[in-house]
Amino acid sequence: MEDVLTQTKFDILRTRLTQTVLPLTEKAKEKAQALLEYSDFPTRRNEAWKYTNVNGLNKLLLDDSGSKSTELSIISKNAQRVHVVNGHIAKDQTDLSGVKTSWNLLPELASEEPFDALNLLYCTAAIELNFDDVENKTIELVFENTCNSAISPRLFINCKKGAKGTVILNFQGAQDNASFINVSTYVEVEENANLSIHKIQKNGTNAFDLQREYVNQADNSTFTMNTFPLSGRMTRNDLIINVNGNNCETFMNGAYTLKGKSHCDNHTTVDHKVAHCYSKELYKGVIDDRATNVFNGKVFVRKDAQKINAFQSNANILLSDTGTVNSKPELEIYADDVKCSHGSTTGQLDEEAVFYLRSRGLSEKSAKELLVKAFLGEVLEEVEHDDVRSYVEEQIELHFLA
Amino acid sequence: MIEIKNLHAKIEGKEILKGLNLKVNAGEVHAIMGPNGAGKSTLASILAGREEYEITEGEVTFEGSDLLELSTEERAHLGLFLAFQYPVEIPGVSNVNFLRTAINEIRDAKGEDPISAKDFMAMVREKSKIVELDSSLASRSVNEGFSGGEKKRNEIFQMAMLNPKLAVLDETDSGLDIDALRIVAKGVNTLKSANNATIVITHYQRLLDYIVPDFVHVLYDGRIVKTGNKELALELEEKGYDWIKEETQVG
Repeated sequence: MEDVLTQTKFDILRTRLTQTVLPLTEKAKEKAQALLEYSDFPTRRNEAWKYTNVNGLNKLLLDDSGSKSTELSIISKNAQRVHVVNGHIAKDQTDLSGVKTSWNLLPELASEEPFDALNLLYCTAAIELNFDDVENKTIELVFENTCNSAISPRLFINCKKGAKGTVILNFQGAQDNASFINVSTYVEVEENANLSIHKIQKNGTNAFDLQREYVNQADNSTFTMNTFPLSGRMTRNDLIINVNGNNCETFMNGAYTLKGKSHCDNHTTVDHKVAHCYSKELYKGVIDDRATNVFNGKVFVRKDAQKINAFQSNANILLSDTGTVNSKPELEIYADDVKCSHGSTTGQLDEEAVFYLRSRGLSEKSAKELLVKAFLGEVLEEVEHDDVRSYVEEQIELHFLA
Repeated sequence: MIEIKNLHAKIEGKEILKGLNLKVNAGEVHAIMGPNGAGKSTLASILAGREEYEITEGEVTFEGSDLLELSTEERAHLGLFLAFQYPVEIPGVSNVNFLRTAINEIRDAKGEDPISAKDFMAMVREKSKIVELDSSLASRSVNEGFSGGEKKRNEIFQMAMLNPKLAVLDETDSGLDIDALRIVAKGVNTLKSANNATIVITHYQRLLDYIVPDFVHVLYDGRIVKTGNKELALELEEKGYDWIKEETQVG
């Protein structure tokens, strides 16, 4: 009985997870375990989780039931592909050239985040991608989730000195899939390297998807992260970028289409530690039905990080009276010679524009669809990868058909 | 074409139209003039289907259908077109993209196949010439960054593309310089045929030098109080509206 009373929500969740088969040092294991033992699920009192409640995780069955096949969408037909089915690498459908999937020892935990510790202790697949060529190669990681399972991929993406690379993280869930997807991604962008990551989160309507990206940028590097949460019961993304080098460029774009009861939370942090860097962030989305969107963007400009240009913008359109948006752009500037801006807007579709289009013969639905596409189009214009852009455009269209 | 009988309408409790009657036949051009606040733009808005207005009495028959029962887009499908007094800027939506959607939805409503890309582009080229609209404007976002004159020319370009049966031009001359006015008028005249009709709503007689009306109606206090030919417009220009007001009050 006493045992039950002292159980945390993490303890309850952990009883239903399977320990990783990947090799960890005792020290790493202890650190992760300690972190989890002293933590509980975040509550409203935790500023970073004020609007996002993950208690529903413990209602997920995670019993590997399901196995409905997905209408699997591969985004880039020409890319090298790594296929991960229900959290495990499907070797027969995977091109592993240059991809590391077996480990003598996994790297230790670098964060203090309980969900990252959970990912490490219950990791289902670890994958390392290395780009060391100027030729811009695309690798697509397809995560196909058909069973209601706990899925914990741990990803390491390294773009070496002067190299270019593109990664597509393509999460595809069966229609009403109820998985717990818990992803940690560690990214190193070395000097003069240029890396783009495109993340598609097309999860099942009952899936919980919690993801963290920890990014380090060295001198003269360019990093782009495009995030597209398209469906899922709960999606939480923590994008943390440490700009450690001079003359870096950082681009963060996001577009989301929420409906039903889905909840989406994008937390981003860009930490400008040194001078002469540029960062630009644009997140836009539409919220329908009873869906909720949370955006929290932080930009830090440290002391002596002069000549920083940092721009951040979040815009939302509510398509229903029952949707919710909590948007909080934040700037913390400790240097004095910088150019920074941030802004957030939440509104409805321009009724006058809807009327104008209808007066020309468009139905109310197509008028709204056209306006939403135009609204999100500003984000898609930033996406240089044609396959990714056309996939997301297609998904936005489907979103309105359903 | 269209027959408006005893139309009463109010907005926010205030009665604007108080028994308006108007009949327009195919091949005709009607001008509606009148002082500020007479109800001219209200009439245009109600015909196009703006929902803010409450119709308290009367009926409007358009091409045999009860117009007031139709949604805005259904009216467009039947061939009604409103040239806006203040065309809306729509960033991110290209003129041609939206017109193609509009044309195809109208064709779909009539049970016709969608227009081919080739035919559509040929039509864009042909019709943009009518209003001397640079073809680059056709591919830009709807009215975004257009000058006042370009916006009004774009309205007439859209009219040319949609080929309506009845066009209602709501103060299309406002904010136009004389050259733009001439181009817009030339466009309207080019599109005129025995099968369509035009209602020109205007403040000033100036536009009617270029678009010559068959009938001129004076709208005052929610009713048409006087109807004449184009000479009436000249008389109004000369004498203003006060004599109409007095005449109406006496009557």
